[in-house]
Amino acid sequence: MIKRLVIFTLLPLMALMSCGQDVPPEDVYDNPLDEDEVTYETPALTFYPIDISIDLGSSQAVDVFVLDIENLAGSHVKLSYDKSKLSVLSMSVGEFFADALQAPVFVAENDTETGTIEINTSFLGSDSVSVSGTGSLASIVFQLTTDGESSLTFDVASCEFVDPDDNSIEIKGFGEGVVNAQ
Amino acid sequence: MRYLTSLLITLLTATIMAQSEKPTVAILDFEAQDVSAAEVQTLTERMRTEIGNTNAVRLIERKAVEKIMQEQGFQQSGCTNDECAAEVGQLLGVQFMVSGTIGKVGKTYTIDCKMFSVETGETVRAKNASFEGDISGLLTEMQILAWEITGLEAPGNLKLKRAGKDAQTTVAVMDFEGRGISMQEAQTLTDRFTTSLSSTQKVVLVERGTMNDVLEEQGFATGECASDECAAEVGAMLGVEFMISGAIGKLGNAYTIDAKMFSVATGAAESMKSITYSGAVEGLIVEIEILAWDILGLDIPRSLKKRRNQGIPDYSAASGPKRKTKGGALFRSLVVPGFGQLYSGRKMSGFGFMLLEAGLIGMAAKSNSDYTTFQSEYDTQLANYNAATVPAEIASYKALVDQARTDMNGANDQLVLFSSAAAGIWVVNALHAFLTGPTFADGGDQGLPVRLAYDPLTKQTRLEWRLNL
Repeated sequence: MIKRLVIFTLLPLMALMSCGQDVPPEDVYDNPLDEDEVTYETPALTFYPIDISIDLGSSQAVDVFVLDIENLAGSHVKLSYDKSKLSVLSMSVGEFFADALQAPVFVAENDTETGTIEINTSFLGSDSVSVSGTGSLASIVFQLTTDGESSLTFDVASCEFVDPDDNSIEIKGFGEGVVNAQ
Repeated sequence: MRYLTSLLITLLTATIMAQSEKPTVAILDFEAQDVSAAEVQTLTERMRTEIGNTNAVRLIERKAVEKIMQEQGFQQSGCTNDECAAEVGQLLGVQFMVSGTIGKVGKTYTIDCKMFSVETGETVRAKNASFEGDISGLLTEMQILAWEITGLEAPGNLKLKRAGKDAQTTVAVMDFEGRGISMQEAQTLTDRFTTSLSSTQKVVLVERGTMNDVLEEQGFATGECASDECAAEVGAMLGVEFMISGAIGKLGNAYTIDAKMFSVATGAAESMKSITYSGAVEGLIVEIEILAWDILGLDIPRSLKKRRNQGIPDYSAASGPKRKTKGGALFRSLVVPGFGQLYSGRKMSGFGFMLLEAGLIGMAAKSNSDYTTFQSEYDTQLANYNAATVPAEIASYKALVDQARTDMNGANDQLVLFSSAAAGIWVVNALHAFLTGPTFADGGDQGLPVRLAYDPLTKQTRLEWRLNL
């Protein structure tokens, strides 16, 4: 009798009482290109995606993004990676410069001994154009060679951004990429 | 010498014919097709034995057939066409010859046989049978064909054997004789007995229709075949091992049931049971069901014993409606909101609670469904936001994520509200059912707590005085 009462009554009642779903929190935004959510000031330099998950032996493209910049005509970016875990398969110019009216000069060097990449992108000539806003400067394809976590960091002192008049543009924020082996 | 033997056999056959009006028949060994000759010979022999059991024909012995054939220079296996068979038949002086073929197609054995007139060559009867399984199964088929080729119905035991039920005892039940009760009542009780007998699963019963056919053939009307001799005769015709007959009588208020199960072959009583019962007719039915188990010497099922012990319901409980209680109303309302009120006869509040509860649960379910939809939208837009690289798109997807979260919040609030309300109403409904539940006066006697009634079990008039404590 009591068993039946529990089954037929208390269980439905308890089910009714415990109704209610979990509503997700508001702080879920972590897109590294979301200027409103990033923790650093703009103009800024960051990686996209910022949390990179790669299987051992497989590759993943990582873009170098500049955020909220005005009149950018040339850039020099230096970044380092963990050469014991990652290798660079390819580097190409990003859409930010590529989409401009003038074709950019793009020079990228990978020093496999030190694990550093230097990327130079600029528009040449006195009538050179400039780009503004947020966009990808370069796209780098990494391959995971060894298991483990590593990071991608910008060499803040070596990074340099200029406008068409060769005036320096100050970059106030720098993002740091994290590579996780799955 | 050869002609002398033929003449003697012919004379012998003619003498047999003269002795009886039964037709004379000789059976040739069946032709074997894809089956060994030895097996076919054995099967043919089984038909010879069985055809003798039919008592419908005079069968010429195999040896006589063989002798004639030897004299004529035939071999039985070689005499397969009708002309040869007819010639042998004429030499034997028989009226009919039976010949046939036993073959095999795939996994199926086939038997084709016919009986034809030696005089005219006309096929009198042709029968065939198919059988899938071990060749030994053909033995039964040959036995059945032996009856069928002579124009008779195969006995029930052979049919049961064919159906694979030969392991069980075969029984036929004669309608119990009614003494002091009508024939219809006796038949009804016999039917109940037969059903119970069948439920034991220890015997194979011959259907009433089959038995009635046999009785009709024998010229008996219903109820006329009451003696053991008659029952045994019917049993033999049905091919069963045992017959059950009996009588149900009424003496005053007491009923007597006498049943006997006896062997058809020997006539000896296997089991005899007598019951005397006094009480309501319903109880008699239980007794007759028990008798079915008892007569077979089986343990009576607990369910039947329980029914017997319980007897017919107590008259005081059987009369008058079942008493309603507050507890009953509470329990019902706890199980189904509003049900307790309906139980108490408060239809308005009962249906009201039911509708309210159903409505609230429905709204809660709708809110839950909305929540799921918004959640799906939220997940999609959040994925789009994370994949976006253009600031305008990022802002747009972010707004959509925010909107979906707001909607989820709203749906969740409604879900909590409606489900809580449903739970609350459920509890209120249970309390209401209990508080407004039926009182003793509502459900039971309305008036004096004294009543006078006749108890058929004790056959006494009883005065009942109830006092509420």
